Amino acid sequence: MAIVETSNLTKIYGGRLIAVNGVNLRVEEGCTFGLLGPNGAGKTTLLKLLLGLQLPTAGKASLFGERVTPNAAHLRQRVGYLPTNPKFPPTMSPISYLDLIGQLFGMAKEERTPRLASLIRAVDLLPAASRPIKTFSTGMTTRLGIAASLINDPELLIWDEPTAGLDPAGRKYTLDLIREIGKTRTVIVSSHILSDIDRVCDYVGIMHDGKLIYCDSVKVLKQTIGRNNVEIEVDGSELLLDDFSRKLETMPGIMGFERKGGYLDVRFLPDTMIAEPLSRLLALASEMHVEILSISSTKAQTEDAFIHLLEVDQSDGFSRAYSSLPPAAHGVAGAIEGGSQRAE
Amino acid sequence: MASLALLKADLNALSKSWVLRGWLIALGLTEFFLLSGALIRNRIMPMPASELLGAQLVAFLFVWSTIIIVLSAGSVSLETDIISDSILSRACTRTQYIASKLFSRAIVVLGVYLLTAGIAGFFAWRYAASDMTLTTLTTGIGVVGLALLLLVMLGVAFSVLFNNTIVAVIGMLLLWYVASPVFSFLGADYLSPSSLMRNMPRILKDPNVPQVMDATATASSIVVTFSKRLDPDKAELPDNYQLELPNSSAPVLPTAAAYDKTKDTVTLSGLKLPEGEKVKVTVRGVTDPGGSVISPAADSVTATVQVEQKEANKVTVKNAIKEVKKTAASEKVVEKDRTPPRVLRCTATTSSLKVVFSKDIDGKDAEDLASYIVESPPGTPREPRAATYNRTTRTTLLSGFTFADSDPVKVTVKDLKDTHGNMISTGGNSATYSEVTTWKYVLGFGIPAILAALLAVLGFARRDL
Repeated sequence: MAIVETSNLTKIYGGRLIAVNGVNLRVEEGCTFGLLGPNGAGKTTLLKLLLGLQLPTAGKASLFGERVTPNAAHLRQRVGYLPTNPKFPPTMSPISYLDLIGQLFGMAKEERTPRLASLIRAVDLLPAASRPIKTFSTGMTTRLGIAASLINDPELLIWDEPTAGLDPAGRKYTLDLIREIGKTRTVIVSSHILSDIDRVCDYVGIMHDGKLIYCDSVKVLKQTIGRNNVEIEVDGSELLLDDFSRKLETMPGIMGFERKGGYLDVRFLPDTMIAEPLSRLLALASEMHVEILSISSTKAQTEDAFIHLLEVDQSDGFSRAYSSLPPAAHGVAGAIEGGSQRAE
Repeated sequence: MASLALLKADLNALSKSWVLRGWLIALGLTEFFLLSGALIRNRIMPMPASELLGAQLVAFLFVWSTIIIVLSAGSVSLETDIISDSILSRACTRTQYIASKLFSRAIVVLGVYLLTAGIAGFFAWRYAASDMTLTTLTTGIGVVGLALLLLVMLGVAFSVLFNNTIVAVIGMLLLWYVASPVFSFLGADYLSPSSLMRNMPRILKDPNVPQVMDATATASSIVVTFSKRLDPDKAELPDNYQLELPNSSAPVLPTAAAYDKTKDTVTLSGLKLPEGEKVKVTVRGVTDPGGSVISPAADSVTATVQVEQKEANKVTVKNAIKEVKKTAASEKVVEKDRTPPRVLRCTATTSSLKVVFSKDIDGKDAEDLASYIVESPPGTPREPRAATYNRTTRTTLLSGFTFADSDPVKVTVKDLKDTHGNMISTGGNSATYSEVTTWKYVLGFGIPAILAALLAVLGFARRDL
């Protein structure tokens, strides 16, 4: 069942700015969907359209199979929303604010009081529970926003840039929480930080200039780029690393590499398993006493894929006009149903 | 539940607002000094209650309206950056949100206003010279309350439409203080708060001036009944009463005058009047507590001096029973209509006056100009030139006047009988028509208030957050 569905969803502000451009999106129940895109790509506008906070200029958005309107409170009843850099009533305290929204969600006092207390504790706001929100730091406000989005135990979580303004510990806890919630709920997370999306989402939509240019699983996204890259962080003397690099040039299975200080970006042959050449590489490092500090493959791949998609979208030029036609006509799909589609 | 929660949260936020707190402090101090000053002045020189209360009510329309504008015009625009994040992304509708804004502001503003007006009204009613009726008092307070409600609704609507508190406040100030005279100039006086301020004393003040209604005379005293409450100091001055006997050229002066405020009667005593004679009582200089002088058109009455009660009481019990039986028998024979006619209402143009009766009037009496006392404003007699009675509509059209546009017109009917010979009821022989009618203000402020509330709801429903 599609929890979220949009059809040609378009938002133009005052006839001047096209924020969302004919987005067709379908998010199935139970998946963790990441909305990725550079700043100003239209992610927040798209999420606000999904919640009925903004009115579409054209097209429609549906939640739980029902069209969203500004007065669709019954649909928002089932949603937990965390805005980017949230702003809350400055004179209220976390207790009074969570109590208010608990009431808005129709929760009885017996239910909402223990719930808000446990949420305040969970997001580590106990010492500030009775302080006015206006005295909060950005991180504290985001943590309160996380608590607010969970108070109604929602079926669908929509979190817009949840890690913005959080310290490293807060960021880790948030991503862990998304991963945990994603096991039982449908989650939509927007971010411009690729690694965050990469870590927690199983499906991803990439937005560029208001358009959804890609929409499929993270795995397919990586395959799309078709490049087997691994970033290896090494330690050793300059002489030793030069020697190590020379030997890598002749190693079978390795297409090439780039050295940047202590980092080696190694490119393996495409369409082959990297396990074998990688094990040879590690054996060589061991033999030459080159210290391996870290091996990272996904970050570079996702970044590459993301940048590649943006470049492709850019280079498509005027032919992009065809992608605005209905999906059925040109095979453009934003649907997340396990199939492999690319907005192209 | 969501609506109530939003309303409670907004009331709570308002209670923490420094604008509201500052207003309450300023209002409390101002009221204290104004009321105590007025009451001290009232001890030295009695002050009409309508003036005392009117000043307090006008202050809300003219001075405190600025605070009300700030409170309401910032209601939505000040929250623009938090509405979507904190409230509307949850399970509540936009209508619920705006309704909570409208209601919370209305509750606070009207609550503060009614409390203040109630206190001022109590002091005015209790201590100042009474020139109001309960109806005029509640009407005055109600109409100003309605104007303030309009102010609140417009303020919230401006806050929604402009989405900028400063622009909304300036817009409201222009509308309230500058456009108001423009409305008056365009003839839409009832949309204008300045017109309400101008007419406030007239709305609060009882439009009726005292009139002499009736008199009963005995050899030693005369009881004069008045139409309304009098200023006791003036009512108890014997010099204000002049008695004339047909066979005597010298006026008779009473030695004492006692005012009974429960019956609105003055008993003139110390008289020696010949029994059976007619005596004309003329009253001068008597006023009601508000200072309205007795109507010159109804300041005299003629009464027949009756036999003293002692003589009358000589009737034996047996004779009394006989008399009662005789009366009962005669009533059985003829079941006559004994309901006295009444004046239902009157309506006036600048040149004519229509008087509507409760039942058919004797045509000859109805067209007798002497049957009508017309005053405009009350206390200033006006003479009709012609009277035409329409039996079908039971209406007399009095014509040939030149009334001022805004002055109320009062008609009192006397010595007029219905077709069965019943004399007009003394309790229902007058009516007043006033161009300054409450319902016009109710519509003038009430309908725009409803429209402004709708504008706020609809304007907010289409806004991107």
